[in-house]
Amino acid sequence: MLRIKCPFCGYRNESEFSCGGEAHIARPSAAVSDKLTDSTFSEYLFMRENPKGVFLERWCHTSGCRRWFNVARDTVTHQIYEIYPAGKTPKTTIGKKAYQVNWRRKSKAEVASKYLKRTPK
Amino acid sequence: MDENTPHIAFGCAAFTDKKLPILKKPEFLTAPQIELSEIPHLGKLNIRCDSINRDEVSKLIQCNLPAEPNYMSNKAGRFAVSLGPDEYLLLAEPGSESQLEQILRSSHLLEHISVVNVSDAFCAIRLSGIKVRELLSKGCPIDLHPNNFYSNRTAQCELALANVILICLEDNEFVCICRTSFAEYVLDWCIDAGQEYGILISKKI
Repeated sequence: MLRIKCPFCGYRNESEFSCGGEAHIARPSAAVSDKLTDSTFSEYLFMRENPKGVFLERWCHTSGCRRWFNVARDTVTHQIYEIYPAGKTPKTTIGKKAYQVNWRRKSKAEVASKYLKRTPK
Repeated sequence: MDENTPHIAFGCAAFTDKKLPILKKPEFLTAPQIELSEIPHLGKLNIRCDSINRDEVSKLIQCNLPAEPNYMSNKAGRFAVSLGPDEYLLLAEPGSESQLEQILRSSHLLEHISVVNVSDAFCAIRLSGIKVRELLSKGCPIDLHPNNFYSNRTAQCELALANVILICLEDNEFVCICRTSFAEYVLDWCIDAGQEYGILISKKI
């Protein structure tokens, strides 16, 4: 059983949390999403990293405060290196490295997410 | 429902269906060591507001919203429990919740806050007695030692796999707030788990 430190409630048992899979998956911007090919869009929709080592995931404290946060966890040792707020990038060296080496940083879907949003007329 | 009639929360079905009082205890005990009862018609409001608006909301409801997580504040029979960084549960005297809701809804803050009357969605169970911590520890993974879980501490956690909000009023007095639909299950579990300590379920403590 993991003991996870919820940023709000403190240390709690793993059974109170639910894992939301890979973090930092950016949706392609609406301005370009209709021009993307199916294979590019599937990078965003279906393709998930499954590393042996440090993995950045989203977790939710389901039985407690019901808030989402991000966790840098080693999938082999289960060691948690960092817990940081949702929507932010990791701060520790290990977390930063895991963020940068992910294939997604160079994927067309992620590049397309950085297009400016269409401005409403 | 007419807006002017105050809303009175219904009692909990789990308690109305059972023939009370229920007393379960081993023969060698002369008196039960745990007493359990519902706090009927307790008003419950779910309030969501940012820390910027916390003070203003506190003034309107005449009870300070706790700034610290896992704590509660009380004033004149009203209890404010912190549920999240921007979420609070206000426990108010029976019948006053609709008035409080109106006060908050008619204030200029309504653009920034949310108020939901959850009086009927949740049910409050009061547990007291010297063996209460032992009873709760059987189904609750959090540390309930008096050094860690003392008066005015709260926790949202699992009690026998049901989601509950535990509130410590005094050393041996707790309030357990659970979903009304889970109340019967929680009650049955408490009777079962408390049998060895002697448990008395009554209408009122």
